[in-house]
Amino acid sequence: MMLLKRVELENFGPYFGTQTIELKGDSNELVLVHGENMAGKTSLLNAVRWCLYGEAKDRSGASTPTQKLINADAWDAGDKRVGVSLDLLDRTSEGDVPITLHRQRQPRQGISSPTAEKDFSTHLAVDLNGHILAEDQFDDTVNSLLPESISRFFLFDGELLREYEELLQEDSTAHARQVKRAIEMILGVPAVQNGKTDLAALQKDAARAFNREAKKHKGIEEAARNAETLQDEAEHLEAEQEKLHSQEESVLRSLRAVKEELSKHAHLAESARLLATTEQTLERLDGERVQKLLDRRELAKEVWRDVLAPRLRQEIFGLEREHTQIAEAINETRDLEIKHLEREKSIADERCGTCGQPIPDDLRLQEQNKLTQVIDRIDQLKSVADETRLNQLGTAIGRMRDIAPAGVDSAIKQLEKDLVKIAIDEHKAEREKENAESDLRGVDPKLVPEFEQRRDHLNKHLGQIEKAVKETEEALGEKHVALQAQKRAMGEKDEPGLMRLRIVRDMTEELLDAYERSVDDLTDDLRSNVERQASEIFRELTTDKTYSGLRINSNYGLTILDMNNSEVPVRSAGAEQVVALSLIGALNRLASRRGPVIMDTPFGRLDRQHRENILRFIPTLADQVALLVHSGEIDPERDLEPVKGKVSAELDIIHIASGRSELRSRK
Amino acid sequence: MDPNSDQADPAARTLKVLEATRQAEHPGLPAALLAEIATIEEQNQFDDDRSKARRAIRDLIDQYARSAALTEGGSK
Repeated sequence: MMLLKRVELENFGPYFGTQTIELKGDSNELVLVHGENMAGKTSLLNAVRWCLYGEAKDRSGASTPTQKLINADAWDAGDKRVGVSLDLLDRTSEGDVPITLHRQRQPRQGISSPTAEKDFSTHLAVDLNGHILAEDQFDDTVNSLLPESISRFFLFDGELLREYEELLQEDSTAHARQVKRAIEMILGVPAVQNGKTDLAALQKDAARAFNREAKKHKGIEEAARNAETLQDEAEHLEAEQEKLHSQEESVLRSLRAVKEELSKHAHLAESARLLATTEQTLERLDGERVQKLLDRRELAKEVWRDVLAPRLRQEIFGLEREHTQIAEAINETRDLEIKHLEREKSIADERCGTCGQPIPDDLRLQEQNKLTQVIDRIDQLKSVADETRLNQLGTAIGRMRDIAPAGVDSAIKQLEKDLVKIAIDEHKAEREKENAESDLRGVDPKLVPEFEQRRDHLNKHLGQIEKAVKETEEALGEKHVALQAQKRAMGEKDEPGLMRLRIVRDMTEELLDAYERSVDDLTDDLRSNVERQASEIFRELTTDKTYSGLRINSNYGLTILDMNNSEVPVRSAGAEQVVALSLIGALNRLASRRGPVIMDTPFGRLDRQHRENILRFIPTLADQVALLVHSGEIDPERDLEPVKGKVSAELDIIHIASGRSELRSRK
Repeated sequence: MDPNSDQADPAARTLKVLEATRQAEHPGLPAALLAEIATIEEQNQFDDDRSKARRAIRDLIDQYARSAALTEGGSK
């Protein structure tokens, strides 16, 4: 078990000069390091990683160049060295062994302004229990304590928890495979996998040695020669297969890098889409504005109608009244003229115009009087019933009605409103366009399509490799069948020179078979152990008591189960984090190596109740745990109750100036 | 879980699985040989250079084979 005693930083990231963190180097040690964003929490985690493995990583997982690791103020002052020392304690069954590891990088002699990695030289030092070891012992020492392949479970970035989500995909990505491999490493699977590889190599040697000897023995020499040829061919195919697998890995790595770039540029694609949309919107709005202005100009020409309209309406009313009077007078005149003619005829004929009876004298006189009245009325109406005037009035009224249609003013007001709305929409679209343009400034518009093209090309290449792998596998299977046939043909001719070689060959073969069969059994066993441990931790951490546990898949991806043991298909970012922490916890419980756990921003996506649960759990995660937290994650006054009395040290990363921070111990 | 229990010890877990396979598939294979190989592999599991582990395993197999050859030879 490895424990940290002291970390010394020299011009590392924001840490100017020499700064140290002292730890007890004991079991059950919980250290809290408080620091705001950009203060240097990740740099602290990176310092430990860099000292052990010579590589610091940024958030995307990319390696940080040495030049960027060196404190900017130190660089400006001409001190271009960067170094980290770790004092460790290897707790073995025979006792504690103190180890000091020191890594330093500085410009090579004669180079004052290093610009590339080749301009720097590395100095490594290992002090093992008071003995200074050779530089080339550095990696072996680190490997025996905490191999890099399993470091992700000890030096742990909370922001990178999402990488464990990839494990859920049955169609695993290269990255998921990498994580899966790391999980199997920490669980000790390499002990069996290496055993399989080692025994496979030894079995080939043993078979070759046997065949070489068998060629000298009469009766089996031909079978031995055939077996030798078949083994050569099989080994050639295996080499081919290995080459294909390494090509596959390389393509998958490139594919992952391209996908990461595409995901990084996903917002740019969105900005480009937004830019295109806003440009279309602005063009449409400009067209609408021009049309509305034209409409307004046309309507303005008619505004005088609205000015005249009240007067004209009054005038029309008067003319219409006169028009009605004349029309009525004309109609009455027509009626009276008909009656006049009828009466005049009756009087002249002295007979009734309707029944033809003779009219008596007294009635005739009355008719005469009425006729006189009708003539008087007709004469009276003649001054009014002027048809020419009637026509003139009709024409005048019609023209006036044309001149004074109501609503020019209100139509103009509506247009003004429309123009204001267009101006607002234009302003909004302009702002969206500016934002999109700002996002896209300096970005090559061909970038995303180029990445997409590269991704498609890599996918195609991957398909070809997978096909070749399958073909090689089939060919290899055939060779092995043929080899067995030759082996049978050689029988068990136990001459003194052959017996030992045969026993070695067969024993190695049996051992290899035992290892080959055990790999699957062991991984199944480990998977169920991880599932059991992770479920136990998950139930402790989750605030949702309707969850019954977790189910593991072949990639060690964990799915939440509900009360009915059915998989919960959708889970929140917080739940993802809890599941990932449960996996980390389970792996640490089952690990083949034990070491300090340093967690950067572990509570990023969690609510208060989950934070409390996790804080309560964290001291049990490993013998030594250091949490690098910011105030948004943990409020020391409010949130530390669950670990009260368990925190052995608290430090603050004080951000002093741009790119310069100091580590201070809290009293 | 007790970190010192067999369940928590990956080497013990591995050997348990290997031993079960040996008993089921290759009962003639010496259990001690398998256990010794498992120990070598556990100690060297993070070494990229496999030559040290392979040498140790080869010597071990050779040793067991010599002993088996003597027994077989003697019985004939």
